[in-house]
Amino acid sequence: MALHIHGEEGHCRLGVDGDLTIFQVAEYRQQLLAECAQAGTVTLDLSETRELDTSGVQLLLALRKQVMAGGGKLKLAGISDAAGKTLAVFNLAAEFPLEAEGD
Amino acid sequence: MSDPLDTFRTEAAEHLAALELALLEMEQQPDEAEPIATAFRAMHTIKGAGGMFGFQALSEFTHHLESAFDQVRNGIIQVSPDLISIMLDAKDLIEAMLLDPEQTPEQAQDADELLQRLRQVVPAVADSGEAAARPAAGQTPKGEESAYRIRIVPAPSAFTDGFDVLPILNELHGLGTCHVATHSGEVPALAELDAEVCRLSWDIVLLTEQAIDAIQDTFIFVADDWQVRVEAIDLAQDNDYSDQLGDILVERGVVTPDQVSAVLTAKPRMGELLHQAGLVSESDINAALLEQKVIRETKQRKAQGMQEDIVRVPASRLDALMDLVGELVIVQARMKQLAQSRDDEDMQAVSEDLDRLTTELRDNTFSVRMLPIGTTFSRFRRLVRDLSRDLGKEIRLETEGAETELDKMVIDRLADPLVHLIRNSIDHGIEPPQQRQADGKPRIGSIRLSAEHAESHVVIRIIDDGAGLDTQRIRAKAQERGLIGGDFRLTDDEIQQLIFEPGFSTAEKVTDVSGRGVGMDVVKRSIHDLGGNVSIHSTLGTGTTIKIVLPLTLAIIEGLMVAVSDERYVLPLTSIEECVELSRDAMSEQNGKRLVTLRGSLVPYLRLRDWFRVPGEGPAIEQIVITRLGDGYFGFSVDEVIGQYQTVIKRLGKLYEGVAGLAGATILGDGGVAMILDAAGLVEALETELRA
Repeated sequence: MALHIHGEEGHCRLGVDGDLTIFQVAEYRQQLLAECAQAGTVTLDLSETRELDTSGVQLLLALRKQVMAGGGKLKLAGISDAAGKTLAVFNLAAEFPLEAEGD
Repeated sequence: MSDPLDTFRTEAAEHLAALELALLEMEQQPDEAEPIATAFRAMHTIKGAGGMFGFQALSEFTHHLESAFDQVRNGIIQVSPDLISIMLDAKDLIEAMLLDPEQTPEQAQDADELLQRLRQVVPAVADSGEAAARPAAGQTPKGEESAYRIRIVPAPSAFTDGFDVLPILNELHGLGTCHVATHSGEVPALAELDAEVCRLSWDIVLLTEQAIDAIQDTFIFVADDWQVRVEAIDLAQDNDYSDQLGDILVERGVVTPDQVSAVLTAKPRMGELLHQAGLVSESDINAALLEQKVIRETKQRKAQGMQEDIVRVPASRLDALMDLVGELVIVQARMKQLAQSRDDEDMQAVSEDLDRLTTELRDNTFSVRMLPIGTTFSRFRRLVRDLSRDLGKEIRLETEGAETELDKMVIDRLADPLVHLIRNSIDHGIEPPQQRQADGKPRIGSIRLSAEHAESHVVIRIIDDGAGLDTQRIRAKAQERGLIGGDFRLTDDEIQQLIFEPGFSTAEKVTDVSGRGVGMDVVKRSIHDLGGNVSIHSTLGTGTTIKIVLPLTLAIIEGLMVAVSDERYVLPLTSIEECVELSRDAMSEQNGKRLVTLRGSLVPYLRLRDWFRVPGEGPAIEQIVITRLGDGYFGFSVDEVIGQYQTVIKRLGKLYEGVAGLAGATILGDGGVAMILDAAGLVEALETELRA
């Protein structure tokens, strides 16, 4: 389970490998706040995300709010089946649009 | 965080206990709605939680039981004795299945058999092989689609409580066409977010052919903590005020929830609009806003208050706490003595305060472990029902004083002896219905369990209106076994106490229910180990009463401190009757036993100085402490009776384990040690010695 963060020139790339659930959210929030909050663009890669629960979704929504409040954008670079299903049940596909790299 | 699986098992056990009580109640009163609802809820919760924790087979099995209960709930099938028996057996099987998520072949077979039996009574129950994906359906005719508006606001602690809305949403999807709108308006930005607190809520429109019951059942195990509202939408009406345009637009994907929230925040508030229209004054608005604030705060406070009602604590933590408090009590006693020996007023004042606080702390801590005995009493209902059926007897169990509290450890260790005593009553005590009628007794026999506080102990009685003890037979058997000599004159009461002797049984038939009656001496020993005593009183033909007296707590003892030269001993106060001066002319001896004449009767006694081989002569006049043992008396003679002494019992350690008559020790205020004596143990040891 890991949260990978690469920050470069106001662009933050995040990957969540493994679970994003109640067991990770507090810790990941700290990391995100430290390294991503000021970014202009955040690219989120959930293609290796195994389990996404409601608290994980809430964390992503909060991240999105933070980024957008700063005038930035949150993009989704990839999404696993499990994570995709979760977002679909919550009808949040519109909030996390999947965009091809390079947009 | 404790292991969630343990929590699941503990809670499942509670649900099963509630289920059993509900079933027994249903048997007596088949038309009462409440026990049926309780039973349904228990099944539903175990099914759902079982699925979440990997108990697939259990969940599937329980699903069928839940369906059957649903039919009972809807009046489709009636409660019958057969149904109750099947459900009770099912409850037992579920208990076994809780031990391991992997179902054993025997359990699978038992489950199949039970479902077969169930099918006879409830034709709509399916085969156990079917997966239990859908909850039980309500009974409205299918084909009529209705729309429901569902609003879900989880408790903020939902994440840490272990409840996730995802399975619920999935279940709703399974009921029909489901449009979900996730509201993240209350979710703060990352900087302000508490990641473990849930601020999401949902609005859902569900189009389904199922009845509203099916929807509400989805929320059964969060309904207590979450705000959930399920309303039918009247599709015919146009001017339904709660059809928020914003929500519908969100659902149709035209706008996002965020966009709606943003616009609503920018929109002037209701109050402002009304003020601008000249309809309300600013002070009206402020007053209304204040009311809103007060209402919200009250709601929050109430919600918090309710959550704080019960706290689960592992018993081992309480034990550790009690040990510490015990040590503190001892040290505080030493402090008190030190303070009294110094002539320091300040120190004495502090010592008094410390004394007061320590006593309060001790009382509070020990009361934490007190539980009402009612929990034990309820277990017996099932026992009485099953056993009386097996033996073809009709018996009613009554309880009194279920709220009487005892230390948890005492309750745990009391369960087995009580079970044995009740089995005895049912097996040997209560007569078969025909015989009772022939004897002019009511057909249904009664067993009454009562508990009450009396000073510093608890008295528990088991009273039956059965055949009673045949004192003559007991006397004969006892003489046959050499337990009593021909010349000993014992009262009927004393004869009756003999049934607690090992190997004693006058039962004609050895049934497998209560065996040879070897249990009675074990019962007596268990109760003695708890610091109490047990006695029996019976009248032939009328009934039997067994009386158990127990100290309120095992760790602290109310005792009487006595002295022999410089040695100190503590005798438990529960058994002490009186203290008398022992004069030479009251003393006598018979067969090596010392006896004292007390108000015309002879009471045997033990001289502690002799027993413990304390060197020296002792005073000319000794004191004798008379204790009650069973229904007889026994005395202990000492140099001096010092007084009442409340103390914490400390274990003596392995070296002293085999020594008869010692129940522990305690550290005195001056740092010395006093031995706590076990009166019954001493007497037994003395008798063994005399017989040798």
